[in-house]
Amino acid sequence: MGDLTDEAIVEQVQRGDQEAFGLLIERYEGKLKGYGRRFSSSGEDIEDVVQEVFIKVYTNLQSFDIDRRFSPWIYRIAHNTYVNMLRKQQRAGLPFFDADTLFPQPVAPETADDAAIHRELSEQMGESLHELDPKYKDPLVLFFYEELSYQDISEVLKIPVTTVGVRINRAKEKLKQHYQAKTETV
Amino acid sequence: MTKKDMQNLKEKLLYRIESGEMCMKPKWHFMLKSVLAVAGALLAFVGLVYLISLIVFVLRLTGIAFVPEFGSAGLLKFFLAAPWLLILLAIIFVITLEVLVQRFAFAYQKPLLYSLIGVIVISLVSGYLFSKTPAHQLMLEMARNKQAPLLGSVYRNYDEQLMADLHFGTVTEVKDDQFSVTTNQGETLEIEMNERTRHSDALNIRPGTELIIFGDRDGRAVRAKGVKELPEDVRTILRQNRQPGGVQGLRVPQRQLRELPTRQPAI
Repeated sequence: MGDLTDEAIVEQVQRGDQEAFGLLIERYEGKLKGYGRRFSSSGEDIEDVVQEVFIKVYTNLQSFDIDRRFSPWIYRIAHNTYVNMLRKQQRAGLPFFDADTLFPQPVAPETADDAAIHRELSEQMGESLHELDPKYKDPLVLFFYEELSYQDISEVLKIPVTTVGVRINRAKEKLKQHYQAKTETV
Repeated sequence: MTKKDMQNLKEKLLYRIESGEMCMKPKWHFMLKSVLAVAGALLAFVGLVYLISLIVFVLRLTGIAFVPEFGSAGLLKFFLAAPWLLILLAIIFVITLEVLVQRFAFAYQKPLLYSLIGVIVISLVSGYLFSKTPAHQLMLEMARNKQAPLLGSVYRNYDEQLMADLHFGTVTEVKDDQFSVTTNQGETLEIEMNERTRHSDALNIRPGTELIIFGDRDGRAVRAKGVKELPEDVRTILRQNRQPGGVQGLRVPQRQLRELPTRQPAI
């Protein structure tokens, strides 16, 4: 069972193998908790929200198309659940519309050379992450910590692929500025 | 995270599944949702195409489509008399369609501008092509004969819309810089043209020519700001209008003829 792809496990669950859902929980619980912690600092909330995510995943599992990738789908549900949680906590609306999604934007594609920078950056950015606007933080977290591709992030956040690239680049710029300001004060 | 924590959540959820407390929604539920989403988008598209074609039809039926050719006064007339209610409704349909289309990956994975331009261009082209079919003409005929209960009043309102400075008529007599026309209401008007009257070089005014005349009226005299020969499709609509039982002149009350209101019809 351990060698099975996520999509193959989902197919089994869809056919009625309830135990197979346990495998999906094992594979994604840690990832979803990690992802959730970057949204909220409250540990107790995260436990509840991750449970809520899995309930939604199971309830809606028949809507998943096994010809597509499972991870963007589960992250999409998790993202929406976390955003709803934040809305409840902050009692403030998150932006619905953004000019970034309106126009086509030129952006450099992902490259294999990015891997080293990727690891280094993800270690450095942890503490500065909460300073970022959610619209920049979300794609950055999904790219650096959850290691999703631009295409997958586009699926999760329902924004154009080019906008994903633009927001990640802007997020890096903002983190850099934040890091420089911090080192100057030290 | 400890192995125990993981076991806890996994066991808790599997227990809820086994006990029937947590269950999957059936596949047909999602299929129905998808079908409804596609049907909703299609319905909005069909509605939008119909509205656009109706706007094109109304613009031609009332003559407003031709007035921008008559210079700045014509342009002003166009903006004042355009069917803004229908246009506003079409804009609402565009927004609705865009929101519905954004549910699909082919739309949200591309910049919003692309799908918006796509929606507008496809709807405009389809609407224009639909306006070329006899559908609206048939609807208008049915409305005139009170056979279209649902949309009949919309067509009748635009059909009966008369404007003080727009006149449809057939040339009966030609003098130097003046000619007479018989309007669709059976009136005879004397049209005065001067060097400022806008018209195409190809305009050939002779008895029997069907024209649209743009100009202020003073009694039976009209000082023409613009004159244009009516396109064939508009002539057909107006000809039907003059057939027995469909003569606009007989249906429009005399009071309305005298006042020649410029109001926008309500739908």
